[in-house]
Amino acid sequence: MRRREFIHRSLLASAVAGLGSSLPMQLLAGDCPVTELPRSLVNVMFRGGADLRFLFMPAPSHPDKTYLNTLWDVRQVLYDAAYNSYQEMFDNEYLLTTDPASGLQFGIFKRCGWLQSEFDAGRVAVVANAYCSRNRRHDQSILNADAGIPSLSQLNFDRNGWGGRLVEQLDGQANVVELGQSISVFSKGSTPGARFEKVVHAEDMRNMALAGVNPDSPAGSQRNILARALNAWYEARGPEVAQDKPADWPYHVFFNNRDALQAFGLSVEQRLASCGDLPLELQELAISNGDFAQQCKNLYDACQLPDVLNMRVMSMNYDGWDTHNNEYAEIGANLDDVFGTSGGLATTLPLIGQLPYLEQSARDNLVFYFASDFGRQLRANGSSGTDHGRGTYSLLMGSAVRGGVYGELFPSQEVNPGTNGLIPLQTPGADIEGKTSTERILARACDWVQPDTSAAVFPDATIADIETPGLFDSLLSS
Amino acid sequence: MRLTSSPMKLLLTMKFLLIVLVTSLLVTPAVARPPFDFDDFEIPILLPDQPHPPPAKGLQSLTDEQWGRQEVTRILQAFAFGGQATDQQVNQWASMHPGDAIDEMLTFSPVNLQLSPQGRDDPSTQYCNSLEKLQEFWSSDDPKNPMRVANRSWYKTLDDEDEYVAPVHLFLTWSRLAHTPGCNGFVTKLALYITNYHASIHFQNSGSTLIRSYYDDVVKGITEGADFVDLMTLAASHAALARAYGHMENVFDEQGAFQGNDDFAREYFQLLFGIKGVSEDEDYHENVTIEHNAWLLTGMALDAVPDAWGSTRRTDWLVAPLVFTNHFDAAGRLIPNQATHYMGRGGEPSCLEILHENICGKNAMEKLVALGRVAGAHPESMANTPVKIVSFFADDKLTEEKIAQLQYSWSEANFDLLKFLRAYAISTAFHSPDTFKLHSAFERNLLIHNANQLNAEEAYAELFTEGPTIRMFEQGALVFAPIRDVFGGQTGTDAANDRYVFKNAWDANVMAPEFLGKPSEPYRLVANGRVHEWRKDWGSVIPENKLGEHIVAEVGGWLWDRFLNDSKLNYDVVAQAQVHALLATGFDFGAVANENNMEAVYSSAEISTGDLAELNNALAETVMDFSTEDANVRVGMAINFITALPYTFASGGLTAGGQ
Repeated sequence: MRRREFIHRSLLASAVAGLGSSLPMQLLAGDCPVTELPRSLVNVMFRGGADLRFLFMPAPSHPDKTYLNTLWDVRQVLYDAAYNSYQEMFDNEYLLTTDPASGLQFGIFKRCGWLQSEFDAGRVAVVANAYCSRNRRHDQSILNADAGIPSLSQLNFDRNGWGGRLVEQLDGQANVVELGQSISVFSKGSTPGARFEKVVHAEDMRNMALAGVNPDSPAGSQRNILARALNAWYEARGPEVAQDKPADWPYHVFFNNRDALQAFGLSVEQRLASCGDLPLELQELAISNGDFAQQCKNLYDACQLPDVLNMRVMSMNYDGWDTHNNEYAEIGANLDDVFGTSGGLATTLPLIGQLPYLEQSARDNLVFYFASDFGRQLRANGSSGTDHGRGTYSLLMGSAVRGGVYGELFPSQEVNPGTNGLIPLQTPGADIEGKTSTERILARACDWVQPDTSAAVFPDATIADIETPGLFDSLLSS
Repeated sequence: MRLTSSPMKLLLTMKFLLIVLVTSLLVTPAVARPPFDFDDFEIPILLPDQPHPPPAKGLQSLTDEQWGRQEVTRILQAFAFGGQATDQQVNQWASMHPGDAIDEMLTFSPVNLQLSPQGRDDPSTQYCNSLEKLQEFWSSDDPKNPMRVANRSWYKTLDDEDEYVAPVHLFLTWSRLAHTPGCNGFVTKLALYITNYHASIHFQNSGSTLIRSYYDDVVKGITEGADFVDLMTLAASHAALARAYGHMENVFDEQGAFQGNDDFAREYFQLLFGIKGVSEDEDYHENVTIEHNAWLLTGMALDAVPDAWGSTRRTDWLVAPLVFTNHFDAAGRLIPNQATHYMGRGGEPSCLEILHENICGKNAMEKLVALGRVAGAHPESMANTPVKIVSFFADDKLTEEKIAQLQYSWSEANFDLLKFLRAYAISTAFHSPDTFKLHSAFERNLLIHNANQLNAEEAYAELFTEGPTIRMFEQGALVFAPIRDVFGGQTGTDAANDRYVFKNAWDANVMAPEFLGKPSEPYRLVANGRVHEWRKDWGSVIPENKLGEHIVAEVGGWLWDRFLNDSKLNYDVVAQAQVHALLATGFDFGAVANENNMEAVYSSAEISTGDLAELNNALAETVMDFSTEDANVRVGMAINFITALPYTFASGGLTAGGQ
């Protein structure tokens, strides 16, 4: 047996060994083992401050005509100038949708056909008037969102994120799997100097292994000489520096990077090889954001081998939501990529649903949370875009979600004078008033992943703002 | 093994580059803002209202006793991509008073021949201050052009078909500038910082020629003595930013109503001057300062010049500089920049209240000049700007004490960047053992490339594909395409947080060792003309011992210092064994120790005693013969090994390791 094969099998066996008695049987049962995806949460970050008011607009039948007219008046420039009325615009740009609980009719942007079908299937919760930060700065607000702490004012990224905190509370060797290009604060753990300890970076699941000795090349080839020299150095020095150097020695991260790639890369490589190529639909996934397409492929592959990755939380992101200019085209393309009928999730999730399973489909064990740094201002600016705001909409999606609208989707107060005498929809700079802290929503999501975890991950959730007490009592199935 | 480039290989390599770069651009989201991620701001920013005792004094200079070779090379690594100084020059600086040495090391001249004597007779040095001129020269048939013929078309402003401006060529030009003999690496790095990190924009939003103009104008400002506020004003008033942010369309219409957005109006304060408004009343900051700045940034439409650069694409025709009057541009369009400016129709000066001051002027330019001094002097700017600058160049782990010193010295420098950076470069703060800097892919690859380049001939004989551009790109760093757009390019923290950067760096060294280890290269300076051959000669720069010999142990130590500059503090016995084996035999230590178990792992303890220690010593004592190509190939192997170790991804941090 070649050494490389030996390492493959050893690592695979050791990964399996920690997962209970049933899996080895399954591993032996076929080329691509059938494994059960445990309840897992996927955080999808829309970086740049998504204008989700654009995603949801009131139906022309909205009972408050003043609201409708004012909203149209201040946001009309976002749409084609040829539209003569709100009705005409809505008919062409939005898909009429009904909230199952209240019967409220509203529109979902037409390029989000898949989102609408998921909403109609009762798998999407739209939480209105949410906030994850109280400022309008990208850097600070993204940190707030990733940390899950809206009140955080210190701009220090060497800290934990709520995804990292969650896996620390879970039973067993749970990890956050980062599917994007860089490990975000969301995934970081609580131990300074070892914040990546429970993070698997899966930027490209099909290319995780480090270049090693190539058994098909001569032992004296330059590649094999260098691979042996580097492997021998890292494997010799790794344990030595782990023992000799203090925990805050700054070079540990590079030993850890190498170890993580070496360990997961080899085992992932073998497992995926046994599972075959990516489905054709994913190979040919054609959306405008290639990075998000890659993340969708990674998501699919990750769901094929949860036992190897020990994943319970995943992190995805989509950039480019800072729509000061030309919002219609920019946000339209983004929304299409994520929520369109041919978009990334619409393509990927049905395939995940087809993966073999033991008791429950992998798709049914996934819940997605969609976040952004902040919302945007109510009024369009003079550049056919919107400027930074604060309050926004939060979306939760999955089979475990009780779908519907939570909170007042189009607050009537936006068209009434506030305490300052100004009507928000007519006031430059006014934004969606945040009434519900995202801590409230995310705490529920944590407890869905594993009961009784939220208190440690979101200790302030029980006292955080909520639009209506008890609003989320039935947000997720138990 | 002799490595040469056949025409087929060249063609394939070119195609590969095109595919890689162009594909990447195509898959980048077609949006105004490429990726956002903010892991670079790990430094706690001290705000004026946070409780800190006032610093007793600013940065303290090293004494002559504290100054030496290690300190000199550390400065070159941090501020000039390593530079290309000779050992003799480094020793000379090390023997000088630090204040005198730094005046020679860090200058704002476009050319610094002490920093890079390879450029002494290099005609390219007359163009070090302009990417536009370099592109013109390197792509030309000028008999003085030192660029090999095969490379020249890759530096043109236009693409192969001479139709459009080619961003790939611009990327290649900047990367080559960063290792061009004679050109001042300090100016190059500072200009990179300003245009790609501090007042950053993305070429997709500005256009390639406008971002090139922006870079060239920043270099011009730096080399002509502009201070920090001048440079920020230059940036704020530049056509490239106006287009990238979109405020070139911000106007006051005929009814006197503002039409536009507040994007740059906000980021002007936060990004250019470090003013986040946290010390201000939020309502005032949002609704007066930012709102009025949006009004200030009106009347900034760009001129167009038909057929500019020879491009057939109209979007390439927008040009710098901005002209703030009402005028017709070369395309015959009315550009009413005076009339569409705030209260500008009459041409009289007007004022806007911003940051509690009346900011007055006839047009946006005049007001920006006035606002710059106010913004620069704002307490948040005074607190944050020096921290941001030093965090980029040199220190990811600034302590509160160091920050206080920086803030004091920034105040003393009165916006003089050169004075401030020189003071910091020779300070105890920078040279303290706990200073630690993670390297971005720009820094790591350019440090390696400059250390690996031995003379001017090599610089130009090198195929354009073998410059650092592709490796930097594959590791997440593409010039003028900052990963966070206006929030800047890849930082060292980003690179460390991305395990695929590490993987790519590892894979590159393992799978393509010839990249750093090529011993020779044939090339032509005239199409179908004589074939020249450049040959690597490490023996010409690696010192001999007293017997005139190159001993493996000494060569290995010299290489370690040249590429890692840690005074061999991390040159452990396992690394020594591998370097010795590679230099002495061309094979790894495991293969030499036991050819039947080449992948065996030997610990430090095992190599330090018994047969393995004897073997290591024997390898160390081997004499190398640099008259052979083989010796240079072996050095290349050793360099590939050394530059895939953790110590090439960062520098400093020695106290934390218990050194």
